[in-house]
Amino acid sequence: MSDQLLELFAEGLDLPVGDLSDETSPENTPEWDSLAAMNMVSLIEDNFDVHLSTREIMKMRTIGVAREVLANKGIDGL
Amino acid sequence: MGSSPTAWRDFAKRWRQFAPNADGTVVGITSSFTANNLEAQLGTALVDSGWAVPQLHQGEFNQIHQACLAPEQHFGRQPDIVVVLLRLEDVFPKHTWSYIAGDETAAAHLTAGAAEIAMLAADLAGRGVRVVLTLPPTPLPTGVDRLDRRVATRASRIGESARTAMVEALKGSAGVELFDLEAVVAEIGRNAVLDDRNWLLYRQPYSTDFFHLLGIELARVLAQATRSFPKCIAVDCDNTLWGGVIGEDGLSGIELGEDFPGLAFQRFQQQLQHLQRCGVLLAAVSKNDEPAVFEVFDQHPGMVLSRDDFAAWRVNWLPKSENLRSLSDEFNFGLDAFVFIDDSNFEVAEVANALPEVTILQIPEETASIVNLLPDSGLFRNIDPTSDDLERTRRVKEESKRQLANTSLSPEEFLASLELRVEARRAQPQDMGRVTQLVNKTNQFNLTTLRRDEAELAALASNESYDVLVVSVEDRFGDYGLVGVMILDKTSEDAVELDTMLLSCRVLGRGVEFAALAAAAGHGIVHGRHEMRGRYLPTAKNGQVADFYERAGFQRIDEESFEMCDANHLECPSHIELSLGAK
Repeated sequence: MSDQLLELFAEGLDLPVGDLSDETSPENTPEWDSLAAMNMVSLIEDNFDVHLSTREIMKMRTIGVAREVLANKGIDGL
Repeated sequence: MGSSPTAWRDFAKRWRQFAPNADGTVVGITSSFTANNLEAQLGTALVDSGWAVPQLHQGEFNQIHQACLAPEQHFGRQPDIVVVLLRLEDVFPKHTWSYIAGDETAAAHLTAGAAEIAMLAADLAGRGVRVVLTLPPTPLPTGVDRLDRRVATRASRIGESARTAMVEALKGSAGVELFDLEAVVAEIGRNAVLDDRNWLLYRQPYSTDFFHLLGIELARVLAQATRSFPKCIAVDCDNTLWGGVIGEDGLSGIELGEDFPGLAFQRFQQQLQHLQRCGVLLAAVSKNDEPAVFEVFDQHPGMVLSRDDFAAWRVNWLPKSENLRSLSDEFNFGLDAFVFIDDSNFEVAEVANALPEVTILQIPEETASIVNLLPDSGLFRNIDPTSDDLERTRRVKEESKRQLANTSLSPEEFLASLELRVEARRAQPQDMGRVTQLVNKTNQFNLTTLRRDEAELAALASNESYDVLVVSVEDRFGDYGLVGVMILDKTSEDAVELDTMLLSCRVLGRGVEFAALAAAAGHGIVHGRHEMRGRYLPTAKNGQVADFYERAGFQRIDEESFEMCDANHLECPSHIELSLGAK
């Protein structure tokens, strides 16, 4: 099964899935600006039918952390 | 209005896939809030409405003044179009908050500030940039209790004042198109649109979903203004103006009235009537026997539209495309100015196929949705109901009737059939505006072309030696109004001298000029003057009246003067009914 979360970030950041990993962050990815961050929130919320708190949003500074945040909300196997 | 939760995603993906187009229209977006999400939504919506891929540039947020003053620096290049998105609570946060909190003095700052932005936009438009300016929505800063009665009232009041101040500031300057953001926000609902979390985190006050709808609505404004409103709605009757088929269901069987489904058709008729009042011509295009359709118009109690609302009828069995073509000939404008409304797949396809330039709206299968057909089309959005086109249907109809009558009768029969009525009476104070206009604008049927201003004319009207008469004309097709002026000089004790004799060219070719002359003669006789004199002063444009007095039976005295010794000889043509008003 392909990695749903990486695909979602690929869409939000407009980058190939292959360029992304759990270590991808705003620091090493210029495409990850505030607009992309905002849209990532909408994409994740729409896609997994969850609500992210502002604290969770601010914490999600790498794809790996996003994966953990979602796992804590019961969304596993990403 | 509504969108699926993923519609914005589709637009965002599509926008990324369009090839950059260096020739595309350059659209600059300046906004008081984070509106970066608008770019993909507006861009894609513009492509969907037929534009080549545009080039969108987003300025730094909340720098509206800078963007209007120096667009090239702000956007990095000279824009063709600038879209200004504005919220009072972003641009004037302190004054907005204090006004809502009860400080009345803040109102003046807000309205003046809003007006200033409108003027900056007008200046920008004056420099050749197309400007779409948002009228700001009701300001509801993040954190206020939107359901508090006083907050709600004060917020909506200041929003309204600011919008009014902006509209006022724009009076007299062309080129700024207004976009009422409040209407769009209210239509969808504040709760669905506002997103406090996005504002707190990113200064984007609205949900991402909303930017999708905003993009579509703005694209509509941009696309709409590039063409004018349709001039004619050609509408089917059965299953369009009413439910059912008159030829089969009969007068009592068709659906039209205060209860559903008749109510939906009644509302649809109301929309059409409103557009007709705004100057859009209505034409009925129905495959029916005319008497059956007229029976509905004349006798059905549920009808909103009357026969008078229609400028033309094509109730026959010809292909509808042929009827549309003949309407285009009759009205003298192109088929691209027509909207055709019909329920039938066949008719819609026939017209679409034969006349691709006609805009087609098909009556939806869901009867309740009929009331959304015209609003959702956006074709007539922002049409001005106060324009001077209100009389257009009447004028077009009268002209058509006259043309029709013209072709089917001999000239004498035609004149007799007109039932012309001419009235001549002394000018009243309320006539002087029109008299002045005629005296200064009439070139062709004007014997002396003596121009005078309103004060001079008023002085003549109150001078005992002069009488200013006005002529109005009516025929069975309609009223032409006040179309002629005669100024009678009674200085001589036994003759009336026609100082001025003029008629608007709208009424020529009907013998009205001889009726007017007879009226002047009658007026003179009543005042004891049996002789009439007239002068013809040639100009470049009044050659057609060079022999007017001679045709009327006057004797030529010299180069420019004519006289008639017994004015009783001047008779009104037999096809005209002449009445003389107050002596």
